[in-house]
Amino acid sequence: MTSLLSTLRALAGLMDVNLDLLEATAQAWIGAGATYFGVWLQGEFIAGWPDEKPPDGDALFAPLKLNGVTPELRIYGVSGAGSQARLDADARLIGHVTSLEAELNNMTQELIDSQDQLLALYDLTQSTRSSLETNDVLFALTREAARLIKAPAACAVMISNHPVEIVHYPEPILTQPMLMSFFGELQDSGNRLLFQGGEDGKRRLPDGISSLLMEPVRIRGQVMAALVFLNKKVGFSSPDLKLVRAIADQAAVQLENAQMYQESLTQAKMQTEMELAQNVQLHLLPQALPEVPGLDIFAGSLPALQVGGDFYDYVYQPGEPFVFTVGDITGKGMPAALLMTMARTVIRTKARSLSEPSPAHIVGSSNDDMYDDFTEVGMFATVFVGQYHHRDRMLYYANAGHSPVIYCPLGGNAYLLEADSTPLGVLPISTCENHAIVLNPGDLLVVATDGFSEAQNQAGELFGYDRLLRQVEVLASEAAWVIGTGLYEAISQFSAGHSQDDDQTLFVVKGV
Amino acid sequence: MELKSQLVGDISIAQLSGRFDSYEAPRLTTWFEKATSKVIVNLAEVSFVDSSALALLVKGMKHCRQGGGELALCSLQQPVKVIFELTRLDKAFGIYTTQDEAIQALHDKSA
Repeated sequence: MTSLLSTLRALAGLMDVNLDLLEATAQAWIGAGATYFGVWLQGEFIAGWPDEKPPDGDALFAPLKLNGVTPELRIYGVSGAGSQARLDADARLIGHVTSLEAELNNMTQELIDSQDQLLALYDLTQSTRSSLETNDVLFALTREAARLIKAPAACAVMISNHPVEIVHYPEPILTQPMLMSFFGELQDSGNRLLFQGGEDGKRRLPDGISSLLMEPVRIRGQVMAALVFLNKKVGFSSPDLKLVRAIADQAAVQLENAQMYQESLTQAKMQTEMELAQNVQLHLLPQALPEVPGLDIFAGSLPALQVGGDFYDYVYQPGEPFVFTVGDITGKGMPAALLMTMARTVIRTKARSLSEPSPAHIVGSSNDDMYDDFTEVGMFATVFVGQYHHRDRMLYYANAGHSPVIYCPLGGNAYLLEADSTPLGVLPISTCENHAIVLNPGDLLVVATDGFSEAQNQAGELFGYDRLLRQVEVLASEAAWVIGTGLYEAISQFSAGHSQDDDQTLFVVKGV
Repeated sequence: MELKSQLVGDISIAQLSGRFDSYEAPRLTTWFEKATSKVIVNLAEVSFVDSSALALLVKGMKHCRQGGGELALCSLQQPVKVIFELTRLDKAFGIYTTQDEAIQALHDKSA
């Protein structure tokens, strides 16, 4: 009986026949008077009831149509058309039930598979969401995906970071040059690379690689990464490819998140450094203005970005004339700020150490010193240097391309003091000369930067020189700080709603 | 800003239009890298230049002179001309009323 059962089980396994159903049918026939019920396949006895020895004699036959094979049911001890019809019906029923059961088994298996894949994808999400370092995410994705696909080896590459990130699971099989060469091909075609055999058409895979699947991962529309699966013995099946596609989509989201996190970290770091730089720059500007006999002074600087290229400075030593400077380095932000620091230091040193520090000397000598550096970085600086002598109330000045510089004598109209030489760093030799104005009580000099004249309103209109001159005239009778803050206020009202495009620096000296 | 490029003999000509500012300057930087050492920048259609644009023109001018050439400007609109006058950069550049005059000037220079 053991041998019978094992044979039957083998048969049932082979043909997916429900053993219980077959046995129940046999018992029903024996109960109804049959002496024997058996199954034959291509003339060979397979199994039977009530024992494993089939009798001789006449039998009724009916084919049992199964998927792929057609064994035969035989029944002994009964006869007649009725029994034949019943046997035929039993055979059809067993065949039908078997095919339904096979279908059900397939459906169940598919459900289990997709359930497994869903769970695996969920695990994948869980295992990668806890990490925000792109390298960790990449490794977790590669490891989980390799397990899902049942590939013995996998790797991943991501090019959006520098240096390029590459991870291997469990051990490196593809060298970096090979991997990058495949990745280049992937980027060119935009489609997955699939090589199922050691030799795929014209292509020979590298030694040690029997099959390769490289799936693109698109981040913001670009192929920025790829998942690579290697050496799956049975090859990559259609469900494998679908699953890998799903994993790659998931990977794209995870990697983009990780990348955005990294970017925001970098930005935060840069922000801190910018704030530090701004702090340094603010401390380079004079912290307090001196008391100079005969002058009422105001100074201010408002950078457009956190650090700027504008500066003002003064040197005032007892018994010496009051020297002040206002400058504007081309451009904005960090490059301008770095050069501004240099220019300020050079000019300050000249103002202190030149034996005859007249404004034109300071400008000319500073140009000599800085011309090469400015040329190197492709920038220049407009500079105004003023030198006030209280004994005769004269203000000597040199203007290297700087504007607007506005002079408004007491009760008169405001007008521009135009530059007579090119900015520092433009020509190797400065042609700057000294000029002079008088600063009697009520006379006013306003040295601003182009952030004032070129301030824009929402319509894109410039504040311009005329408005600036009129505004200076309106404020001219006030104290220096009222004039200064009034000009900032006027610009701020004019450009309300429009972002500040350029640094705005102001130095106001008024005779008192 | 738009940039139209033209080559007349050995003179590279860039015709710009619109605002010429720090956002647009990098395009001209790229153009300068491919240009000959004789360059004309035609500003006929340029309504505004900022200091980054001026810095780029100065840089271009120095580059041309190093290569034995020259950078000339032409056809400046009044507001742009004012900016060159106020910064005295009109002393550093050859500035011409028309493109033909600029071409003639660069030819004469090499002759």
